[in-house]
Amino acid sequence: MMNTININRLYQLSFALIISVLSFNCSDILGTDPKPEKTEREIEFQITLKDNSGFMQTLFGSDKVRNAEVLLQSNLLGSSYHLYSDSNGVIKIKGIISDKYIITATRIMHSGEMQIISGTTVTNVKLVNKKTRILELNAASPANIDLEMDMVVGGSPLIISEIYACGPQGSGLYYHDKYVEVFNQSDSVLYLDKMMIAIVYTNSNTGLHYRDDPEFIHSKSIWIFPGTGKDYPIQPGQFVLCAEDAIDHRMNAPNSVDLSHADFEFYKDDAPDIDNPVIPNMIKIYQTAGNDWLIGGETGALILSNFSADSLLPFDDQFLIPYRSVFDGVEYKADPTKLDKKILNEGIDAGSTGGIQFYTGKSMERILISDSNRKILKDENNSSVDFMIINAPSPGKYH
Amino acid sequence: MLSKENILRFTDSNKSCLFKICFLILFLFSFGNNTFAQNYKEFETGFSTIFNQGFNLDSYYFGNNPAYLDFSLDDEFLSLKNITKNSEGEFKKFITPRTDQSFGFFASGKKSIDSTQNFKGSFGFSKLVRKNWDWFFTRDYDTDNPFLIGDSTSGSSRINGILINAQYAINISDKLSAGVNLDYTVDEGLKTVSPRPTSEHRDIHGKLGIGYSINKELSLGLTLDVTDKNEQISYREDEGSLTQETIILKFKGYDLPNVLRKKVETRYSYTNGYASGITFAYNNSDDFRLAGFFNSGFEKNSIKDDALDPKGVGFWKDDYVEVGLKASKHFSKDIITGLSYRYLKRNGWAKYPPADVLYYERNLYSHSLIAGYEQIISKDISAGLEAGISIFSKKEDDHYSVVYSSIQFNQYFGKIGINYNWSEDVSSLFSYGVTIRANQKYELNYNERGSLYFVNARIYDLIYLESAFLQHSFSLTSEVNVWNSDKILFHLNYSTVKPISSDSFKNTHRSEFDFIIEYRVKVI
Repeated sequence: MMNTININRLYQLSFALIISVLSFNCSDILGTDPKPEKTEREIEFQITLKDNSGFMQTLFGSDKVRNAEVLLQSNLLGSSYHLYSDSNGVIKIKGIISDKYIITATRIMHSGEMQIISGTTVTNVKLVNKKTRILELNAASPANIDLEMDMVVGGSPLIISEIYACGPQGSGLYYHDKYVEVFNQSDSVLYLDKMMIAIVYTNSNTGLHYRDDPEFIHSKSIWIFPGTGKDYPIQPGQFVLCAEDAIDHRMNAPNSVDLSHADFEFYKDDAPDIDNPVIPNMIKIYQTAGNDWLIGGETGALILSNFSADSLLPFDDQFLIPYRSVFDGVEYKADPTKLDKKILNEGIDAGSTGGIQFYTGKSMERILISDSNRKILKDENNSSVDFMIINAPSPGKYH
Repeated sequence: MLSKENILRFTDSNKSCLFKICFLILFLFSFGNNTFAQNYKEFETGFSTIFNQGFNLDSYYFGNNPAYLDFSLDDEFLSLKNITKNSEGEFKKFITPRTDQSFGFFASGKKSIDSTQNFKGSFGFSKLVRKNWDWFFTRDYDTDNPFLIGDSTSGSSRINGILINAQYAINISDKLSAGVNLDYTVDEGLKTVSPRPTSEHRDIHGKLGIGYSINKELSLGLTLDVTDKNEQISYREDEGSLTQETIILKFKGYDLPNVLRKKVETRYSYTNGYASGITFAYNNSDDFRLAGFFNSGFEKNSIKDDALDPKGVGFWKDDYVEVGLKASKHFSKDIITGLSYRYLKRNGWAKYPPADVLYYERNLYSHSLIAGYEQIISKDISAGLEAGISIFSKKEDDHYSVVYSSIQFNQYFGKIGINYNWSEDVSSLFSYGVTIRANQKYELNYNERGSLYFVNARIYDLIYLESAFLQHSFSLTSEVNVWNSDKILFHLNYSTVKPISSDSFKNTHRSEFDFIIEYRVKVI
């Protein structure tokens, strides 16, 4: 009898306990996964531009960069926002999603301002955000961010204007029509002799890359233009086409391109490669594998450098090219939003173009920003904002 | 072109088909011998309070407490059951396939191990076919979880799986019983058009129940639920369409999906759920029964993308409370009444894990009240009427896509049915029902500069909810005793629903057809 009473009391107590527990929310009791306090798009972000050059201090008595043009581009959505800093060097933006943003801040220094700063009317000087190219704007983290800006004189005179790598549509696994196009962005004649085109090394199987190397590009595919000094000029606004195989590929693949008029051809003389004898050949400095110059169809990175091939530094089975010698570098990825998987140093290319699948006939071309006297292509050293995808390649010209 | 010969052949073929159906029905109606009919127990009838639904009124059937798995020797059986369902039409949400078919084949049985222990179990195969399904390839696409994946193509998908259920209950003492219910499901999905993504699911659900009889009339119970689900969706290079571009869409809300031109992606989804509840049943005599439950719990779902380096892309949590109360009263031996009330409240929210910010909130509740009246007219005929009202409210704040909506509506339904015992071995229940949804309040605000993904497509997910409609349904349920103690049960249901004065769904409708047939062998 006593036992029965005790058991009954135990049951009643248990029920009372359970009922009291159920009167609360289960997950509150377990204390797991609290609801975020911050709501998307409700935070106003404030970015303060700070000058490291001292120009702003000299001009306005403050290191805040006023009247700077800022372009913010969402990495995941691609949506972009065009803003200008106020007199306090601040830009404010509200209603945007939390994301990694590719930021390009530019403050052109006018000749009058340079006269005050340096005593000379220097042109082509600007302040840019060299150190921080990607900002994480997150509604849950501090909304006030400082962005450092440094002085840059001029821009790169020679740039990579187009990369076609994926192969044409409807011709099986045909991929011999790849090319890279170089463009003279300056207003004077330049010479391509001994200029270097290299493929940035990465091992996709092991995930090995040298993005964070502080000084050098690592490469296992290095080619240079022929010539001894002034044999191969490139005129202002001229496109120079460097083809994997300089033939009319439409004979093999109807949806491909005619590269028989290319300016240069990558010919690998130690392999069964095609050689168009009319077209000057690029000179192979180092490429141990493959039967031809070969860039990744969906993912890869190329650089254009004026580094002397004789000065290349060996490293393991690669050669090293110093960042300071790089005119231009472009990275492209199958998923260009995955910036954490970049292989090219952010100082050379802060972002990534691409998003092109194999055998779709699409190409990556730099965006045209001016076509008045001569073409000016966008070069913010950020492929995410500098390049666009075109549905068909345009070798040797702008589409 | 139909020739006269073809028309005749077609007509003959139809006649032949009709003859076979009539023969089958007559066959079903004519066989059998004198066995006590269980009157659709544990079988779909379309009614919830009358036509012997009160017979099932305990904490096992209403409250799902496995501790009350209890049955007499007469109820022991083995069965084979086939379920076929088809739903098609354009009156639907955008995320819903135009045609949704499901087929299931189950072998099940229940048996008393001894006087204190009972066991029930089933093993089944299922096949889901989703035809003309735009974009999406997430199996559980309609849970309000905003993180959905798909691609730019439309086409058919199929999901084949096996389902295993086991239930066990034991009477520990005269007053105390315990039970457990386990569900295990695995399935594989395939989209049959390029890029041919595949999916794999593994779902486990366990429920523990305890029951305690306070006295002969009142019993109380406790339940504890644990759910664990895994999902893997894989996009791989489709070798049959190497040169075709794949565009993967990752939705995080109604709008602004991440549009990725890539062939390879893997999504992992992990769901954990916990719930606890109270059940009770009151039965003072055979004339009055009352049962109820209170259940509260949550499910959380974590989504990661990328096979090599999985990273969190979404988190969804849904808290819920459900309450149910059901009564059955025999006013005389000829009049049976029933009353059922249910309340459901769900509060869900979603966040983007890398940023820990709130993307989406959804709060909904519904009240549902059903009253039933059954009159036994004669030994062979009984008629019943069921009527009910549901009050529904849903508010969604999609902060990511800047889409905000709130809706309130009432849904009314009425259903009449006649049960006729053709003989001692054959009975049939015919019913007709009508459902009307009437809008009370509706608001939709969205970013006018939103993308075409919303304006052209997913806005219909919201407009569908606010569309008033009229639904007619017809059903036939029949039970036939065959041979010594075996029986065949079948249920046919056809319903058609049309919107009322909706500009968005003009000239559309959706029809549903369900067919269930079960063959039961009595365990001797």
